[in-house]
Amino acid sequence: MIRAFWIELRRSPLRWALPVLIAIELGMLFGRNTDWIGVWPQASAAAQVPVAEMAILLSAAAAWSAARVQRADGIEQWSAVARPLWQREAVHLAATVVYGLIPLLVGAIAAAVVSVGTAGPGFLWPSYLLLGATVVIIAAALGHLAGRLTQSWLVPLLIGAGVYLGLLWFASSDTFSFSVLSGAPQVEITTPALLTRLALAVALVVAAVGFQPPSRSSWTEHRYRATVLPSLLVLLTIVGVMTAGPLRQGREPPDEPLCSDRVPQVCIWPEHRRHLAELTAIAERLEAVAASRLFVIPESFHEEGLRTPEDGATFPVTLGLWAAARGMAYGVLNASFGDESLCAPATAAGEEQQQEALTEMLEWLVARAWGGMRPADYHGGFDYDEEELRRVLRLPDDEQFEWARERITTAYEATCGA
Amino acid sequence: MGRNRIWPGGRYSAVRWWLRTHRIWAVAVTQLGVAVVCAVWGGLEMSVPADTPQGSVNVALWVFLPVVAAIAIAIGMTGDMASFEERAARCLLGVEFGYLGAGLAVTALVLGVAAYLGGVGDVVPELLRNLVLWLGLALLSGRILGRSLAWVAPLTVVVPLDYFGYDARTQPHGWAIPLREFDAVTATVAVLVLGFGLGTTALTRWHGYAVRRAADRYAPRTRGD
Amino acid sequence: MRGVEVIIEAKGLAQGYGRKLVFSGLRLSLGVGTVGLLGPNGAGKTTLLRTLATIIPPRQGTLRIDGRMIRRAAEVREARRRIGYLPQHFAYFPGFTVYEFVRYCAWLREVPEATAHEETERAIAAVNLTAQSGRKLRSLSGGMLRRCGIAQAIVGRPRVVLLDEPTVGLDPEQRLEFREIVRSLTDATVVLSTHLVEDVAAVCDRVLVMQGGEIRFDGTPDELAGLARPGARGDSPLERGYTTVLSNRVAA
Repeated sequence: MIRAFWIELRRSPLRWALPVLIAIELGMLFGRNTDWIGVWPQASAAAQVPVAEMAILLSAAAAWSAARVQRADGIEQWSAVARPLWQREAVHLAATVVYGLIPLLVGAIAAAVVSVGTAGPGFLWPSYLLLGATVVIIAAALGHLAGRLTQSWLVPLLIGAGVYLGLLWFASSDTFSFSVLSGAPQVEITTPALLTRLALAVALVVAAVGFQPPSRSSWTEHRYRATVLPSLLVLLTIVGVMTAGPLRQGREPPDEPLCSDRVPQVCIWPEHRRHLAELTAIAERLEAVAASRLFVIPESFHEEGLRTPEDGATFPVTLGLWAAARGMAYGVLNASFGDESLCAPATAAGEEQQQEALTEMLEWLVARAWGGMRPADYHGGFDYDEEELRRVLRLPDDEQFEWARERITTAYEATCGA
Repeated sequence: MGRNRIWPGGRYSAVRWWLRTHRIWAVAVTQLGVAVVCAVWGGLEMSVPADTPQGSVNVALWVFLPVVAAIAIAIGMTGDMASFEERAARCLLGVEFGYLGAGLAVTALVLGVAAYLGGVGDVVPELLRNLVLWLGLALLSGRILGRSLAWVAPLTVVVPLDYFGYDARTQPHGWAIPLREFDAVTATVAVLVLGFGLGTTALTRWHGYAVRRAADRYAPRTRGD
Repeated sequence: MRGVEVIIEAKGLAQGYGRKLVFSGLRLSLGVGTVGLLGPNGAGKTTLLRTLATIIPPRQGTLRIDGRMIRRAAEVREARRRIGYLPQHFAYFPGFTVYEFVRYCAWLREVPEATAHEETERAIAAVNLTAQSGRKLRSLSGGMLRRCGIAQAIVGRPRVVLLDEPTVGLDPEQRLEFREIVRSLTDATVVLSTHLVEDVAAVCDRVLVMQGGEIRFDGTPDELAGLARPGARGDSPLERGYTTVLSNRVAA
């Protein structure tokens, strides 16, 4: 069996696709935002992201490989051998799956290697890698089954496109998604969701290896057993996936989050350990604004998920440090002018005036906290005069605080003063 | 003895035989399926992993459909009698190019109508430009790897294209032609790629042989100087 | 002594496609040795070989291979370990090397893992392909491919070797080599379906002539040659004997 598997591995057409698959995995892993480096759940999810993209090639190549017997016009010849059909197909499919898993493994190893120096305790989260492996098995099994079902040259195209678009289609579904785009520490893959997806993958493998092509032989014919039972199994596991609940759920916050020993204190999920020093520096830059006596600086900033916004200032980390700085600045603005301190504007013009003043102030606070203008990668939010903000940031602190005081006055005048 | 007719109409028309041995009905069914998907879900936006700050970008389903339709046309060139066709006389190339032209025209028409019905009529120029572009790439793939493997290059390219094709503001990069709005430059590139694909399809080993012979003839003589 | 032990035994065998019956009531008893299966196109030779290879179950009758009755799937699987089959249209995977292909076929025939490597090398050596063992099948000539097909049929020393027109496409030298290969299969029942009477004369101990789904002649090559009528068509006594048997049927 091992020898046959080795032959399949050596002669699989997927060996030609392997460098491309590895290039896709590594290209997508390192080609985009690398904030995941040093954060175990993020790194695990990042290694898994390209798998859904590879599925298009994997399933198409699996279909091409599985159709080799039909291409050789050898269905009858290979049906006359002692070895049970399922064993032959299982070895063949196993080789295909291995070629799909190698890029995932390479990606996971690369993610671990670049993360291990900065991530602190812990390791890659197996659940994300298992989810990636599940997609590999599903794509390979569907491709293999399609390749055995029909002789059409179009099958690799159709199954490749179908699997890819299907994965994208279901990606937005809570209950039927098979991949995630990032791995925030606040959430985790649920065990029932993962197990049911694995079960679906196994059911598809059973269907792919058990399928009996039409032949005149009735010696070994268990077509009913080989077709109906796997189909039922696949249906059953699909129902299982749909009833297993969302793919991910929120995690319980740790009893002891990782906190800085400075004021204001910054507390984060332990998995984000590598960002603590930078986040502490951001908080300290915000603390420097307290000298203006215009703002109330919260005693502590907590990462999202560690407490509710009602309990105090929270900020996100998963979206990047600039987004974290923005979250903290927003916390300062809320602590200073939140709820009752500002009245609701009575007119549309007043609302616009207040919004403009608060936006300028928020962006000024963010820029102070971040230590510069918004990075080019980020966009969105309300429009503001970036040139004006640049000019203000070049002014001495006293003049900047005076500028801020004017904005506050404007905000109040637009509302309570009206 | 009269020559067999090449174009449709006659009982012994080469086109009829060619269509039969190339299972064109399967291509037609595929195009019909693509058109139905385009008409029903063409405007549906899906979140695709991408090299953007958000890690994803919303891409409408219609963007992917010309890839499938174009590859299907190219795979239609694969026939059950490939070994005979290798030795065919020149007229076969005419039949093949006729098929490609007709396949492209019919698919463009069907896809265009489907896009209009599906409420994405404003992207018909992009849809058709991409159909031309992907067909060129599929033909090139088929020429290099074998006609039945025309899917390899387009399916390999489409994923990194969608992934790396957008900038931080989720605007397509200049090189990501299939993601860009229709204009003269992108249309020209698409036509050039198709031209290249057609050109390589028309080339045979004998063209290389002729080039080598010509090169030998004009090569500087080193013996007997 | 050869021919005493019965390896293939069929009684009342019937086979067909759809409504068409190819043969019925066929009796066959074959021992160790090489049997030539001659007959015109459509005589039922390939159908008989496919039935003996257990590809299609008989419509009627019983089949016994190497002393075991074939009735159920488990018995078929057991029998297939003892059957090597080279079909008329031999299917192969072009990307496999000769060794890999034969070894893979050994695995398919459930040749014990412990001896699979030796048996593979032995089969490859038997068909004189040792030097090409590492070459991919797509790079082999037609004759070499055919020999590779024979190697997969004989790997693991099956008790039954069924060869359906194995010499098609072989040049005269390759056919001589093929005959040597068949002569070396001394412990098996070799059934050789062919149109080439001289191959039968060269390697077969026994000849079956099939026509219209019936076995019209069963005997030695010499006996077949002895049936030749004066004036019968053919360039050799055996060919004349063969055409005589066929023309008897037509006359009848």
